[in-house]
Amino acid sequence: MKQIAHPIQMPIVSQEPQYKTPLNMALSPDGKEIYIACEASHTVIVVNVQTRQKVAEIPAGHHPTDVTFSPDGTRAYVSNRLDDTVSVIDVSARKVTATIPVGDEPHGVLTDASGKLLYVLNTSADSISVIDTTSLKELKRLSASRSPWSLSRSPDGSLIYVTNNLSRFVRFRTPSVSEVTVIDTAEVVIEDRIVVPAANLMQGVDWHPSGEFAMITLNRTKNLVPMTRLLQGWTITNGLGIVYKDGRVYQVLLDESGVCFPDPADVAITPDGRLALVSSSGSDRIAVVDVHKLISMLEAASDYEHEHVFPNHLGKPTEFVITHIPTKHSPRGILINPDGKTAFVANALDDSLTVIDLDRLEAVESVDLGGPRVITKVRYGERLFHSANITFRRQFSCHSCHPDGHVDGLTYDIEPDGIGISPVDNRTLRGILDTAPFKWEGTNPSLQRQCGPRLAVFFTRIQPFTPDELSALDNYICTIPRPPNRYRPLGAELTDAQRRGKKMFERTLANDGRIIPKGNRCATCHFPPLFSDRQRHDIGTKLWLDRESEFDTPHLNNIYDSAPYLHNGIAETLEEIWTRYNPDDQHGVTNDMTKDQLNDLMEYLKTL
Amino acid sequence: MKHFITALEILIVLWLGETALCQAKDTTAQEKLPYVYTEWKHFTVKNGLPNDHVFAIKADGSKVWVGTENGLACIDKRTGKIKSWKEKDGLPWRVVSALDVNPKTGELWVGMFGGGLARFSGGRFDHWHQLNSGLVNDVVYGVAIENDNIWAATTAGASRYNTVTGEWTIYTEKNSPMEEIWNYGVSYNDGKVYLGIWGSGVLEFDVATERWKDYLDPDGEMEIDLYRDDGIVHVITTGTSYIDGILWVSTYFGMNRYDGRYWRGYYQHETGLPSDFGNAVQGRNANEAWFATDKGLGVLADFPSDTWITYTMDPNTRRGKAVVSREKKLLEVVDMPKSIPHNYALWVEFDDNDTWVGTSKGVGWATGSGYYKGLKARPAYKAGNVRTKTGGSDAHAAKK
Repeated sequence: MKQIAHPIQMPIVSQEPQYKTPLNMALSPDGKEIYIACEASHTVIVVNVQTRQKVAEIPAGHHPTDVTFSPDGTRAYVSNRLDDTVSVIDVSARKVTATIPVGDEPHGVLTDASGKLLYVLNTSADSISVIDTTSLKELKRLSASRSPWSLSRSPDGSLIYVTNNLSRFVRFRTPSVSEVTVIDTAEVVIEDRIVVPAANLMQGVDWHPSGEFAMITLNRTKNLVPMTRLLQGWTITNGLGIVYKDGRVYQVLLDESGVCFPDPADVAITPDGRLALVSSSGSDRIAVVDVHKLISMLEAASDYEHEHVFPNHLGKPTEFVITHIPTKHSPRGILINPDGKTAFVANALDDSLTVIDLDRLEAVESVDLGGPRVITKVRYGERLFHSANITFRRQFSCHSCHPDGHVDGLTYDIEPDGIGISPVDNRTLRGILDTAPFKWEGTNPSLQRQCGPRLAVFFTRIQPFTPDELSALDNYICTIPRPPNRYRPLGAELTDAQRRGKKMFERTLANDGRIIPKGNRCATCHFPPLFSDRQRHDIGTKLWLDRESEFDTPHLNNIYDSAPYLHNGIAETLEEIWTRYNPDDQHGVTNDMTKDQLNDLMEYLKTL
Repeated sequence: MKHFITALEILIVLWLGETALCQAKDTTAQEKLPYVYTEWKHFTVKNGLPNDHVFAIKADGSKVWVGTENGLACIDKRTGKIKSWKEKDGLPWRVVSALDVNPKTGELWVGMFGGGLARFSGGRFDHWHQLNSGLVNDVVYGVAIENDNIWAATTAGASRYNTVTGEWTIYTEKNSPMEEIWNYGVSYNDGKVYLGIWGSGVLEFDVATERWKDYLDPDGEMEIDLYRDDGIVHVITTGTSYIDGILWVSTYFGMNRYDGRYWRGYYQHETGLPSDFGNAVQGRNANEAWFATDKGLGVLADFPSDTWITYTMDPNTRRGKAVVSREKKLLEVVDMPKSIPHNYALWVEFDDNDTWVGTSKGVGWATGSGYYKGLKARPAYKAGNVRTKTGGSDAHAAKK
């Protein structure tokens, strides 16, 4: 005990292996090198296309996510998701020469055809930063939909299509409505917002060389149907969207009746427009789509088939998917060489690239990016999290509902007790350590319970994780980081509004001088550091759909980035929690607050 | 080559002769007068407007956005076609009372009377109101874009929304010199936000310093001006417009011009204002401002000479009239087939040389081909003479 209390030597520093986790790639304009954004190593790895060898590793910011080149090839731009910045790499010097602040959690990056402007997708701010590449200053910020993810420029350079990972907010208990945001690159404005009904997690996007359409990856999550109801289509189907330049959108599935195509992450079309390659990060495969067959099928079909048959038909993919090519763990970004002979796939959880021969349609080589050989328990858990092997017909993975450990923004009907009963909002896994119990009804005391038999019964419908798997998964989930708070940088003082809001949060007296009962004060149930007492309370939010009236007290850290709110996701914004859903002051005494006081409270909550 | 030079010489001689002739004409027969808009086109429900009660207009390139009592409309200037949106089309609220376009992003911001604030971008409406956001009140009278911030003038104070950080700031009597909180209008230009407030005059917000300055009626709340040009004419202020360092103000009891040091008051009885009841004002430059009143449009066309143009519509004949005057002296009367669509004018919008006017009976589009600032020597007309505009050519061309 004394030794523990008074150590006499420095503790041994843990030497955790440093993985690479390659996510997305870009080919240098001269075609000689591939730059790979590696999330875990905070680097960009350079691979020589000819020799297929790693030739350099360039330190970037934290969590590099996407990379693109300037058209003249002198620069590479890298989004650093954890830092809210873009690194500018001098290609000849192979080093970062500038860092540009952008919006929250930048993801996709791409220049316009001239290279004068750089578009950066701020995934957590639902916006698009437009950067002047001469001054390296942000010129403007365009509004996207929710969680803009990837972008692709039309062959003539006039349009950029942006996929959005999350559905727009929709009315309670209605299906998703997602959006492809269209940028007019001449005017640098949003020209259109193409609606993709019933789809979500739209991620990859690539234009067909004809310039007539682009293809996007998507999920069709049936969150309003109980997850146990296999016969009703079950939970998540996975597929493609074909988005024409005139705004038409057709959806097709890549799932087949025997085995699904979970978590389609990226799509790339060959230069001749003949083939489209789609990565399934949940099943470690690439689907090869015959584009001509797919388009012919769509153009011969009726409106009814476009709307009702193809988006749900598990038999159709056999008509246009030529083959599946196996990869290593969790394939994400795809890059096709301009000669149309070779494709590269970034295997995020294998620290490698798979090289595909596009004539033979086979994986012919693996490029080692230099990650550790050892697979730690956390890494193993990460692979389990991203693998659909645990679900019936490999339909989805943990990542499918918690993309990158966060939220998909949906409210789910999970329980096997009838349609529409006890709908629950999806909760983030970021910073989940020490926030037990789990589940909105607070009935699962540990993650092992949450992810073990319960998962098998209510979600995956096959043999549950083994104890070792469960332990690894638990370990991984507990390491999913919470990004730095954007409303209060580390060490920063509270702003005036935040300071006033803190007083409201901690107040004991109402505006008229009444003493607020202890149980009705914010800080009673939401106290630091997690701002949760980890107890269940009845805050008056029970609806006719709910079995219970008491719900788990959520932690409030980074609460601003996990809308919607309340146990059923009925509140689109933080304000609505109190303006709409606290009529009797059961969720804290708030109805006496003036509008400016409530605004101050919001500003403070966002700093927690 | 020789022939070419000879021809050039002849042309030069002819041009010099013509110029000399014109100059002679100027000195004898021309008087310095303002430009008068004589080419008017009307848009009403018959042309496709969703409603004839027009509260706001915003020109943006080839598009002209129109806010009405029951819907939003967009006039395509090139084709004259109108597209409109009502609640069934996704417009969050029927009454569109204010409009502004973010010059950086091209997004249209929509203030709605009872419905809060909306952004229209790429065909999608996003909606902020007092329940789902920090907007202080849903009765929005005015909207203005200031850098990355959106200002909303509401019946319960002003809101400022930062589109980058998402922060809402409310300005009321608690944190600004706002004696009353009923904000009628808001405008932004050159680093300054101006609020026109019912009962609290004009408030100026300096964006750089975030400091407020108030402009109140030195005569108190009297409906007469005891000492002229001593300040704002009345605290019931409906509109503000700041341009070239000049603040223009409309109130229910007269109008104002303020150059940072001196105030000037304008009243119906001594100017070309058709009424003292001002609904809105737009300054075009330091010397020209258009006042929308309940009895027509009053245009101070040239501040130094105090030259006014009064545009009205004859309710019986539906014909239009423009009266040019200086210190109540009648200089010119132009009779036109059309002028403003209705004398109850609610909004004015400049669009390069053109001007758009919102009234309670549709939109008037005045084409300004040949528009000039201030005054210009052109053939003089005796006071009281009526110039009749009959055809499609403009008044100035008709005179030649």
